[in-house]
Amino acid sequence: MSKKLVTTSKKLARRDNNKNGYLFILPYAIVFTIFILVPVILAVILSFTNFNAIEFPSWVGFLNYITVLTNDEVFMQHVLPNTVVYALVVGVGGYILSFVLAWALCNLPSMLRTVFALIIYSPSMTAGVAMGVVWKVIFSGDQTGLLNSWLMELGIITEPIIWLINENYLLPIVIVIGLWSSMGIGFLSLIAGILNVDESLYEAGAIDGIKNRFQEMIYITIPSMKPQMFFAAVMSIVNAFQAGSIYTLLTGNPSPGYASQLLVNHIEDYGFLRYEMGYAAAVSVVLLLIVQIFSKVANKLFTEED
Amino acid sequence: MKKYILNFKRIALSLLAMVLVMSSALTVQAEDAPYKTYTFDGYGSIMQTQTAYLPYETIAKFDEEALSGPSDMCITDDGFIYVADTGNSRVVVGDLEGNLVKIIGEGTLKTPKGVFVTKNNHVYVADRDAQSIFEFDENGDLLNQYGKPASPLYGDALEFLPIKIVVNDAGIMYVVCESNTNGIVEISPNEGGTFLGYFGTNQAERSLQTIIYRAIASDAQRAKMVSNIPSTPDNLCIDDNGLIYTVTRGEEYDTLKRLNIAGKNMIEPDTYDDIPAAVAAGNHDNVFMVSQQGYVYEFNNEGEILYVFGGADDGTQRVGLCTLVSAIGVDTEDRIYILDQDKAQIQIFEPTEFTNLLHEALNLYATGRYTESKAPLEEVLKMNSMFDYANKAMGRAYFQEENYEKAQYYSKLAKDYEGYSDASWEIRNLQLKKYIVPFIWCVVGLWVLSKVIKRLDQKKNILQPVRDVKEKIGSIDFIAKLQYAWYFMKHPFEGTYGIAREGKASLRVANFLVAVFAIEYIINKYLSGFLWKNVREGRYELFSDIATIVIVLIAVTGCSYLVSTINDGEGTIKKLYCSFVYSLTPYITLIPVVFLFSHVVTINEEFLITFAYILIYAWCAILFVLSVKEINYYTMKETFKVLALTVFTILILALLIFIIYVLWAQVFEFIIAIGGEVVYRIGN
Repeated sequence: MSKKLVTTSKKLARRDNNKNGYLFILPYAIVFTIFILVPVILAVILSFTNFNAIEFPSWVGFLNYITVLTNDEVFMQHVLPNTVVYALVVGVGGYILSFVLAWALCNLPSMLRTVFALIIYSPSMTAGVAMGVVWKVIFSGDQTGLLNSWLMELGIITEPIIWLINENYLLPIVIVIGLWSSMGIGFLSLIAGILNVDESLYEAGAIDGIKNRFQEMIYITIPSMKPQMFFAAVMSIVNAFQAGSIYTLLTGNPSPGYASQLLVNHIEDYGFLRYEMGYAAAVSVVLLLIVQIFSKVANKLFTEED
Repeated sequence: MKKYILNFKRIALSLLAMVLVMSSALTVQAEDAPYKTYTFDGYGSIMQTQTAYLPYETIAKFDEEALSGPSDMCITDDGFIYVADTGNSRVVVGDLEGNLVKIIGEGTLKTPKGVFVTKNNHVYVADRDAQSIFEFDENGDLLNQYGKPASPLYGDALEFLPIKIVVNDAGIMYVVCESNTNGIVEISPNEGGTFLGYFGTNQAERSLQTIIYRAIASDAQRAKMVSNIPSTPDNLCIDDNGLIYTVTRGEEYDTLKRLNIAGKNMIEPDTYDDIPAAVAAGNHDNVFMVSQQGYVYEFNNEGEILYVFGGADDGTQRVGLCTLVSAIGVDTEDRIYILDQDKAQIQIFEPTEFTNLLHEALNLYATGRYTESKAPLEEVLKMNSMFDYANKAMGRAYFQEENYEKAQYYSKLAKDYEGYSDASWEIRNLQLKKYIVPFIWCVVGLWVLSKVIKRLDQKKNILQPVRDVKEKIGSIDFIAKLQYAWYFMKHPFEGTYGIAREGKASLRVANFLVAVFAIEYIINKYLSGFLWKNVREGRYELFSDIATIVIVLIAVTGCSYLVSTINDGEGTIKKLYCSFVYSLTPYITLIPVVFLFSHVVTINEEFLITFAYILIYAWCAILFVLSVKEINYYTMKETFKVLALTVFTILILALLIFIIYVLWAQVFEFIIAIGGEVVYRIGN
């Protein structure tokens, strides 16, 4: 067999593989295109128009973006600061929390671990139901509300606080709920990552003088699960910025005094209450850019090799 | 030489002029007020200001009718004074000049303690010993008598000892009762007096300690504790809008309250008095509170203090000083009337020009006529440019006019952080509007440019010279070690190892970094944005700042070295010093960013600055702990032990230095005394 023949057959084989590959990915690609790619592109196009959901959209150029940055005082004074605070606390805090919990769970026997993982994971799936069942009861504004009742029993307050109307408490409440429900997909991937670390590394580490679990975590576990850490980080960033719609169940939209208004609430406010679709689309593109930038930063942080 | 003399002359002249101006200003200020007038500056510290009210007249007798232990007074808008003449069991009515008009309730009243006159001139008297409230009509005939409320809600065992009273337009009586801790008794005139409930109850003060005690104590233990009863209001008044002001003794937070119809407090005064005696609503949404010793406080409608003046009589019997104040009132001319129970006389104070202007501005500002309020405010500021309330109102007025630059200027003078922040936000927003579009184009342009350069570089290597220069600079020892600080900050574990074992740091670089740190610290402390500055405007203590930095650094390094050497630590003083200084890298690299931000960030984005500081300090602390650990080759446990010991050593060292300083001061004093003695003897 000559050399040339080998290469051609290799090329052929690759082309064959490609075809199969595309075939395999086709169903997903179609669904992805219809339900994600096209809407995103449409949103970007809509963001350059003035569209009220009834008349045909009219082209306005960059007007919506200029308005976001210069004329929307609610956005600048409330929405953006709230979102950044929320994302910093829930994104970073939730990430650290998921890692600590995942690490703690991995020290449990397998059966117990599964049960606890399920318990901890469930809030992120059932946030809507839980909001009605748990948080509304806890933060109820009269003396029968759980939190009010506890605080009054302990004698810290003498009359009930109307938690969900009071502007001082809204954002902290939303942040607490955010942290509580932040153990999502990222958390599962962290568990998988920690369990996936080669046992022999720990043995080698023990021989090399690692003395305790903390050192194990710093020197072995974290370096060997960077991909999972990165994935969890991106998930937690995306989740932190995308949160919001669920809290309307608790605080309404717009929330009192815009105290817990997040970016997504703002988009809903303009899109589905005022029907200013073009403007709402522009805000969502801004959100997309913010998430993109932060993911880039995370990428830099986690894939930096030296 | 001639020039010198000329200069000297000029200086002397100007000095003379200054003295003249000052003395004339002083005579204006003094103008026979036996007390000083104070106000609060923006930092909350007390400051002397122009005399706000002058003693005007004293009424000791209404015609020939002297008072005896008067305990309350009410001044009506049509110019009459009603005094509860407790000792003589009557109410004396006089006009503002001190002429007797009539006498009410002789024979009916026992010990009238409180008096109030409604708009239709009905007189309500709270009589303590008669345990009743009497209502007289305008001619002085008894209309009604209200006794102890029959309602079981009032409490059967509780006596009804009314001492102060106000009545609102609907005829509902608000009565302060002696020995009733439930609050102000609210009585409606229907059916001979219906008890409506208690009003404006104060909160019992709860310290953290009692909260914890109560939370952990059992029921039996709790029952044994002293019950925590709130103090009741001691006096009250009502303003034209029907809002009730109360004063309470012995409370810090509830001294002065403004209660709405629901009994909810709406103000938080800037200051408080331990024994407030009475309160009166002024004509300009302002409120006067007087303490028993005779200090008069004037607040605006938000509880911000305008003036404090007056004082206790120290036996000099000067007009304007009081011994035991029991009531205060204001007439339509803004004169203040203070009833002195001990001297049994009424002291009248007259507002000065300055105060009248301020009141005018206050009135205009409160009614939303901001533009008009500026003229009187300007006059006020001409007389006292540092009067903070005027500056603040001026700033707010300009803000309402959308003149944000001026608003910012005046808010800064007044240390009105909120006003300043709002004005800065608006200014920034305008700037944003102007420059955002070109800015975006610039960013896009730069991005494209960098892409193009990168592409060209890949093809033609055009950046090679730049890279060469960079490498050359990087290979200089000093620069390389400086760059290591950056690496140290990002990789604390490997970084500390590098310092401990590979000699990657040098003293030269460390000293350089300390210098940079000190410079940044000082710049950040004194020149950061107005909202984020913790030091007073215009106050600089550079020497003590630098000394602090140096001393702290020496103390920390030295003590940590001392402690670690006796604890099997492997660190040398040089390594410890270098690693401690390198631990400051996060501060050195991030503070410039924070500093720049502090000039554009308003209170609205406060969290950015807060987060930045948390990040910086946490990062520095982690680096510090890790460097102690790695340099000395400790475990985590040993590290914390050594850190605790280091802190202890530093404290001991401080104590030692203090003692030595005190001892040496004694020695020096002794030597100086001897020297003085010798000089004296020889001189003689």
